[in-house]
Amino acid sequence: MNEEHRVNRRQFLNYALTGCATTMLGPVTKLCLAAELHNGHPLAPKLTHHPAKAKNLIFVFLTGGFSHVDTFDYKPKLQQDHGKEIPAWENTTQPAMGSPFNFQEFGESGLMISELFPHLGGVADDLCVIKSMHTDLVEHFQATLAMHTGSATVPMPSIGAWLSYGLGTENLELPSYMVLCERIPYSGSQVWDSHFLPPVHQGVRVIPGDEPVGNLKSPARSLKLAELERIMLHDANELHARRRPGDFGTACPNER
Amino acid sequence: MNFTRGGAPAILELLARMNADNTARGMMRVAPQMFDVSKESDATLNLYGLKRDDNKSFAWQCLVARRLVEHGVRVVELIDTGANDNWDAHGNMEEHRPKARRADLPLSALIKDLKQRGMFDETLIAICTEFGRTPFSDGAGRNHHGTAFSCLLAGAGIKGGVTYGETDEYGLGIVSQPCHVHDYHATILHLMGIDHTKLTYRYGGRDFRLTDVHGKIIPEVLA
Repeated sequence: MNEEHRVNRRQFLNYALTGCATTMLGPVTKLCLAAELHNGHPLAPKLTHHPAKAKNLIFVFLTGGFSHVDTFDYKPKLQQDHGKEIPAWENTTQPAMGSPFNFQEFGESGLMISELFPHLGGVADDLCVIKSMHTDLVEHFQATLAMHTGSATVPMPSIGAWLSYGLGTENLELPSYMVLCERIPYSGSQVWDSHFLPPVHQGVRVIPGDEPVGNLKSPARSLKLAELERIMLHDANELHARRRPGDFGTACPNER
Repeated sequence: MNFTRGGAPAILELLARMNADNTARGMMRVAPQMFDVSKESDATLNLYGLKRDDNKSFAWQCLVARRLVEHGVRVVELIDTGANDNWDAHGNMEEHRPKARRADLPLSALIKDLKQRGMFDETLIAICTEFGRTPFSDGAGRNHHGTAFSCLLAGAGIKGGVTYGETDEYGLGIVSQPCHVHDYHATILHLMGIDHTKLTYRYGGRDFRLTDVHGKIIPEVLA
């Protein structure tokens, strides 16, 4: 069994797709070809609503709520008034606490960043700092969920799952949404869950260390053998499906 | 062959299983290469501050994020710590120092690395947290504060070297250009080519979306 003989049509489409990426074919044609190429795979690339600026997202979540007034939101008045009573909640006052960290200007833009992030300061001219973020929740589990899903009451899909659902992905050999985290965050795996979206959009957790994803090593003695077994299974499945077009009853008899 | 064309009902369960098999096989073949950074140059490892035998640190996570994006993974999320020993500095603000030391260099390296590979223009980086902290003390630390906090955006379609919005002189409340979590999400989706009001999924009798009935794009941060 030779893989190359099996994929001639696929290769043709692959060439066609690569070719038309640089020629005059419109995006719809390209995407139809892409879907064809992927046999209607649920993660095949999809058309965007408008031209995208970004193809990929790297979502970095610094857990626990880092202090804005000690990092990216410099408040000289807070330093000056250290120890003084300042207005707090509902007509109460609290003693101001200046930041123990020094701030300095970085880059041509002169962004003020504290000594906690000198290296990010080095790329200050590439950063957009939103200083006016606000959330409805002040408890870790809920606020972490809200930052990922927009909701802390009703279980909702994560932003990564929504993007996978909306855009599909470019490499079907890897999941569309991967989450690298060594330790379980607040709210656990709910933060990368797909909930009501098809589960193919759920984030796949990668655990930094010796076995980042479980069971990647095949129990078969060699990769070659495992690959031959996989091709055999695939061909058997294909034959079964081809002989029974539209026959749901014989699709997976053991599970019905 | 194609199971789904021509209006004929497909053998959906079998198709799903075959897709799952292929993805699993792809994972077995490709993912170990993604996680193995040993073929990266010394210059790259040094940029991230990563030792060659390190397969665990946040620097490793950042480098692997670049490798995954390079290989077409749509969304990569990096979570720096877990539900304890994190940025939740109630007792002492000095607790921020080791967390920042862990994240600062690798995050800057990720930006530089994406730039030198020409990927910064098509990759969006969001650096965020769940809330901020009070300007007043809670011991030598600070308590939770959802009324105002800071998050970052960088990369594709984002103006660099700018700030958006302003808090009052103590950092307690917002005085101009508020950005709710829904607005942050709407802006991210917009940059990825998605209209946050149109990306819906029908479930339990109604259409759901990430931003519910909220969210506005922040045009001022767009390049």
